[in-house]
Amino acid sequence: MKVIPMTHDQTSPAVPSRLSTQLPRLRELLAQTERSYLHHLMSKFYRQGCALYEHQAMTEEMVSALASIAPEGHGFCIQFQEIIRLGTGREFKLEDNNHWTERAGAIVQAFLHARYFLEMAVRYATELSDPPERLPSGWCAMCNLFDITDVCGPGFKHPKYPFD
Amino acid sequence: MKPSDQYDIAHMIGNKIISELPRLRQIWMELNRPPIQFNLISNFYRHESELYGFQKFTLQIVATLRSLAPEGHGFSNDFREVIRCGTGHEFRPEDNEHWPQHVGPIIHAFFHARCLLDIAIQCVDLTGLPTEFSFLGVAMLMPLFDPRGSLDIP
Repeated sequence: MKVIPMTHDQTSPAVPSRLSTQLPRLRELLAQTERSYLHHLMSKFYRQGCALYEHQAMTEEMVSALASIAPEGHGFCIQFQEIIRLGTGREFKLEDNNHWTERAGAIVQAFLHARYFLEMAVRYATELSDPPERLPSGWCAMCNLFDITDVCGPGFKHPKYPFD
Repeated sequence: MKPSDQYDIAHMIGNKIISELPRLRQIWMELNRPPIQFNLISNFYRHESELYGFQKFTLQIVATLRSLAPEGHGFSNDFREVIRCGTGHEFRPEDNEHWPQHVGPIIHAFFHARCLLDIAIQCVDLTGLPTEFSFLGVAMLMPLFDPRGSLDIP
């Protein structure tokens, strides 16, 4: 992991500085994937419907939106990359029915992870206008997503919200 | 008696949701407290062993969903497999070496259970009346149950 050195009086952004400009796009995607969307996704999983595979496009779109807010010089962490790799780019094959929970499950899992970060990005872009005493866990996860460490270690208190 | 007609099955599930609704809502509210909702995936990316604690929530939801099963039905094999893979784990230091493989299923199982609970609650929410349920909503929940399935998680 790359480590971005931060001191307590540093105010420069440690996490996505492009977030505010991308906020409308992120909000729109979040609205498109609200409660009922997730319900349909889950229902298709349990119906063993190959239409579930179509939802990969939404995951890819969310990942693309998240990539657009990555701080310069940062990519996604290896774990996220692996989850997205396993849960996108799949074409339905009949034999997938015999390994449904594994193969279709990976599609659901990738969607859930991407959506989580989308939600966190929108949430903190809109809610955290003032510097919090400590970074919320969701924002720490955002830092981890972009391979940024040293901003949310145990007991570390941030005097400034690392946001643009 | 095993209800065979899809309408009867939907009716049975819907009525059980109505009678269990206070409990379903209580668990839902508990699960939606920000620390729980947001810490799950955060813990995954931060390699926090606390994440293993989420298994108890998953099992709590599964117990609730079990009470919604129509007579003579168990859980589908897919659901049982998801829950089996994502519960019953104890943290060992060596899990850190294969973190996504060990911990991914815990998150997966929790989200599945949580989403199915949400679908159950929405079956009633959609109608706007606490004594009626939406067949459309119940239809989304029906694949969870299988007349050949078991309610036990292996």
